[in-house]
Amino acid sequence: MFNNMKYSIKRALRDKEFMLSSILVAVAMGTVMFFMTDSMMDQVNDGTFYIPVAVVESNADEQTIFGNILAEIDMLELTFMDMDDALYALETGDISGIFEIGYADEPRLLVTENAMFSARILHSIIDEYVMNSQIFTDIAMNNPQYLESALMNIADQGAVTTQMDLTDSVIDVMQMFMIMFVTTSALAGIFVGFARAIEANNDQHLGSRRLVSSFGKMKLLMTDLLGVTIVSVGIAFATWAYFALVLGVELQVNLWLAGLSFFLTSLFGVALGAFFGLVAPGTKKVREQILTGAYMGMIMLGFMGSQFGNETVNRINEYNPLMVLVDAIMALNLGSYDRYIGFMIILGVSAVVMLIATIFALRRTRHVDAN
Amino acid sequence: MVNTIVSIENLVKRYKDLIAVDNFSLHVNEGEVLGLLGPNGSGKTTTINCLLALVTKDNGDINVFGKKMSQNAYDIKRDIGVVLQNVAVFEELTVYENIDYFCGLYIKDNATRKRYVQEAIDFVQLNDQVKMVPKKLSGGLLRRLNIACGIAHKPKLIILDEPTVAVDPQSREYILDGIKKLNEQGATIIYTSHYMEEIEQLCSRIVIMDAGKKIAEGTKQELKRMIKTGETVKIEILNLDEEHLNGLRRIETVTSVKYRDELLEIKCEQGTNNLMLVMRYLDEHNIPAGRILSELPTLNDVFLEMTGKELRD
Repeated sequence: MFNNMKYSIKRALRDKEFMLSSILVAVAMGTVMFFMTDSMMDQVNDGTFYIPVAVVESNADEQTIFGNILAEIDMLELTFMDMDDALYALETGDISGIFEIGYADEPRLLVTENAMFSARILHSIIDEYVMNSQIFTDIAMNNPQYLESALMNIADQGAVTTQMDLTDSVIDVMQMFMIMFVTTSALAGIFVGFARAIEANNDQHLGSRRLVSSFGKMKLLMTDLLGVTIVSVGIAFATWAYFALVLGVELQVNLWLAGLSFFLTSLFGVALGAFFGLVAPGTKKVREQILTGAYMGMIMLGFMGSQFGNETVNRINEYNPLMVLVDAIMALNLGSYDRYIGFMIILGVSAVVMLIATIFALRRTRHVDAN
Repeated sequence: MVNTIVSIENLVKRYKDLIAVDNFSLHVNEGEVLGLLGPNGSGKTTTINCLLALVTKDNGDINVFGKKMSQNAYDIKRDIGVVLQNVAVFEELTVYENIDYFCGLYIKDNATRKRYVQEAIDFVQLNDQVKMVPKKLSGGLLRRLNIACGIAHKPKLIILDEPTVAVDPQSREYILDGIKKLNEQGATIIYTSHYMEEIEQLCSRIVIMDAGKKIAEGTKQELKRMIKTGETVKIEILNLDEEHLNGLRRIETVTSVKYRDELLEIKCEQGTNNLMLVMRYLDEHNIPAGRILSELPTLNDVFLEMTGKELRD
């Protein structure tokens, strides 16, 4: 058993395709993303980062509380215009969003889906205001004489608070991306799991060496997959270390809990691959293509979800294992251990169910080549 | 007393409408090298796969070492070494690691395994290649590695399924010598091939298969005695007309005459004067002859006479 695991690990480590697809892709994409985000953070810190937005008010003469707050935020380049002009400017990309004030109880925000960071920042501004709007209303109703000073005070604080939030938000985006890349690298074992399961089921290949019982074959497959999982965990840690130590990204997560999620992520990936290898219908080529599509789909949906926040994509991402894993690790940052444990249990159980199905498929299937 | 290692009785294996093995019976005695000879598609590999319980049989009984063979008969399987037609080694592991891995499936004790692996390496003489990965090995060396992986754990019964396919003559000789040595060391061997020369050279007993059935069984001398052809005379002649061919056919011991590409091929019954009778006819009719060859029957002749087709058809 130990001998088998030893060689399973050696084989995985010498599998150039696996190592390239798992480490290099994650490291390369993570590095590009880091420098893109880093440059934006520098602009934010230098005060040279501006987001052009339009403000559409029902009555231009009437200064609303929210309008005052917007005016206080340095990084916003405000232009007051009517809705038609604003929509045209948004469409042409001259502005990143439209704040609509005075038409409803709460201000509204219109953003285009391709304005990734700007959209997030604008969203956080409006969220910040909505959270505090009750305070202004209370003051206006109960102590209108203090409204002006409160407004100035809160506007100042609001600007500062928003600024801080924006910075946090940018860090969160970066952190989320880095965790997504680490998770992607951990999931790359999916293809090795697929190959190992097919290999374990091929009695012609097994004949000269694995002339053992069905139970023996199961044990061999399990140790094989565990060996690949161990290598995948190592790869995830290496990617993590690169982001944290070389790029200096603050991945403020408990390393033990992150390690547990890496293990479950890797196990899930390997189990998914093995499941596709033996249980999924279709020819080997078809199954391989479906698996590749599923893997790429997980990554693409993850990116789309992070960048565009499209409602449909977000709904799909609730079932995207990659994003579930990212959410689980991000939940640790928020101190939401219940959420983390919940996700980990779902992933662990899914992995075990797929492994059990794979084992049963391995037991059932027999070599059928005629000579 | 002869100890039967393998006993197959009335084995039947079907793949949908195709009957791959049809009521096939076989007995292999301890210490012998049994050759399973037949053209491609004759059912040799299917028989081996059934014997190893790699495929489910439709009918028949298979006993190995006196015990009933089944998919989970691990106690039997650990004493069997298999070298299948396809080279089955790991591309990522070196020669040493591959042999160590396969040996490790059966031999758990580290010291014993280390010794066995070294002995297997010595046996196939891959000492200079132990740190090489398979893709760096030539076809012949790769086959040797495949054999080493199958026999490293010192099995009592070794099954080799066409181990010399696509191997150069030098490596082939080397592999055949190695198989003889394994047999001398006490292993019982089942060797399948469609190369009759290998079977003749190696096997103490031969079973000929065709279309899933046993055609004949015996030593090579016994098999050759089963057919009418006792000798084949081949003579180079420039021109020979149909009249002379018919004249040759009328010679008492001649069973068939063929003339193609200036080569006359005459098959004769077993006898002592076949060549003399043919030469006398040519001499009497002033037919000049070039090179003359007289050959004893081969296994191909046996197969040809029994099935009406060549082994390599």
